[in-house]
Amino acid sequence: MTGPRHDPDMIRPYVRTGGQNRPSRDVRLETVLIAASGPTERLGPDARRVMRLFAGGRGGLAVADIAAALELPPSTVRILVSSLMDSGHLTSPAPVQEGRPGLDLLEEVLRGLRELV
Amino acid sequence: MTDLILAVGAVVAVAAAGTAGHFHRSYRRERGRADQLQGHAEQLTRQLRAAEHAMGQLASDVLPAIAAAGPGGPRGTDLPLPPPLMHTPLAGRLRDVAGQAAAAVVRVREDAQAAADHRVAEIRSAADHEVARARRESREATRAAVRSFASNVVARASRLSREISQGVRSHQDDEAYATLVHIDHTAQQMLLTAQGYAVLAGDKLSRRWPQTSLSDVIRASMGRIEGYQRVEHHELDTVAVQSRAVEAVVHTLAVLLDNALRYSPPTARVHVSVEEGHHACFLTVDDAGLRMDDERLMWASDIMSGKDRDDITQLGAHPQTGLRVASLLAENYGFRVELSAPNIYQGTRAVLVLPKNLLVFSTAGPPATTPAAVTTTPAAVATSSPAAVPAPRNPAAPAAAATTASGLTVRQRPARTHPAPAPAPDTPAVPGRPSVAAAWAAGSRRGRQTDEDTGLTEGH
Repeated sequence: MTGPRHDPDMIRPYVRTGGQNRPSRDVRLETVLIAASGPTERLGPDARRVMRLFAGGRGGLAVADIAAALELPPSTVRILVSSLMDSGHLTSPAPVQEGRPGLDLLEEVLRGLRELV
Repeated sequence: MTDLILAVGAVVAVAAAGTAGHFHRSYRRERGRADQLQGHAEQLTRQLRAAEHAMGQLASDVLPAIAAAGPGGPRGTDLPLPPPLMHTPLAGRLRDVAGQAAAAVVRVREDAQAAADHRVAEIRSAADHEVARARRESREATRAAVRSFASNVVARASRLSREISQGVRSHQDDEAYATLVHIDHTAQQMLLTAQGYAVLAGDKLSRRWPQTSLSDVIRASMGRIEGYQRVEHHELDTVAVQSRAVEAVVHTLAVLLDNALRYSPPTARVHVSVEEGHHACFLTVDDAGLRMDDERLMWASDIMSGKDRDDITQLGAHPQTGLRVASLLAENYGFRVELSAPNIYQGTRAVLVLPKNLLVFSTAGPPATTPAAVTTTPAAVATSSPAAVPAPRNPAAPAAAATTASGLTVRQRPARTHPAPAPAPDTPAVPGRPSVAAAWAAGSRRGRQTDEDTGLTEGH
């Protein structure tokens, strides 16, 4: 074990969101987010943890995945993410129909993944 | 014959005259004595009356006066004597009687006083003993009642807070979330109060946490107080509090923050700074409120030194439990709390001194003070942060990659994951390629739906 362990419920959700109890915009669990590489010093600890997830050289992350990675309640993450979108640290690309992989392709990918598991 | 008769007559006459003279003298002598006797008798009668009068006075005035004299005894025993009794032995005796009566009164009174004093002392010591016993019993009874009540509330509120945590995780609805979070805030404050009383009543802290970084300790305390939004704090993620002391430190800091918020204007901020010293770490709470006056500082330092602290029945009509609890916890867990005023904001400063034996230092933890550096070194993030995305940076480990849905994204776009630096923080991010992102999202959602175990958690 390297650093201090976290008990995710020790810090209550309202502290993590700074008292904000609703997301400021329509962010869903499946909303995919992409990070901008702006300075993050002024962000709160949880916002920084969210931004750190994007720092590994990756593209988009869904809200649900962020919640799972940080072991935080999804609603809390939705609020955190909506604030980060307000401040411009995260953006959500609008899904474009053209170029979207077909259902067949995705199912194929899924099957492949299952076989690996 | 005549002569003889005459002579006899003369002799008789002479004799009679002589006798008469004799009797007359005798009579006069007797009369004088009788007069003398009568005078004496009258004098005695006067003296007797005077004595009666004096006795009456002695009985009706002087002795009651002596008896009724206040503390210090009768002042004078002067018996006013009528003139017939002047210079008589009786006068002396009467004066003696009055004097002895007065002395007797004084003596009796002194004896009675001494006896009464002794009795009072006895009763007082018995009463003191009884009072001490009653106080001890009431303290024990109060302590037991408060402990039972408070620990019950703590247990239930802890369970409530766990259930709320589950609820917050399972309910996606905004309305439900807002309500649950609101209830949670109240439950946490309830927990703080109840746990304070439990500690005062001699209970141990029942909640256990893993070792926790100072940043998280601060934020955990903020969750237990009203007005946490007004708290501004530094962070120190490289230093953690050992598991056994976490709850005590969190509770104490919550108490100090609560005090600081309570005694400062509703718009003023409360600052928490963290300093790492050679022998200890210091959590400093500064408020910009009314500075504690000297009297209150004195009271607080008395409480902190353990004076007037432990008696739960002496809390008064408006119990101020916070500092007492902080003091008890500090003593039990081996840290220190110091209060001083004024601080740089003309308010009060509270310093929580955590000695190194309560702390764990980790150099591998993410340095919170330089988050920008962290974001540019993914390796550090991956090793230190539990939140690290299971990024299969090594393509030669396909088994690891296959366990997660998001691994797919990395393999597809290894070179374009870094968005271009934004010119300013407030400008929107440079978007990634939407089509790929959407594909990833759909795939990952389906993956989750079909296999709940495909999570990203590291599982601790």
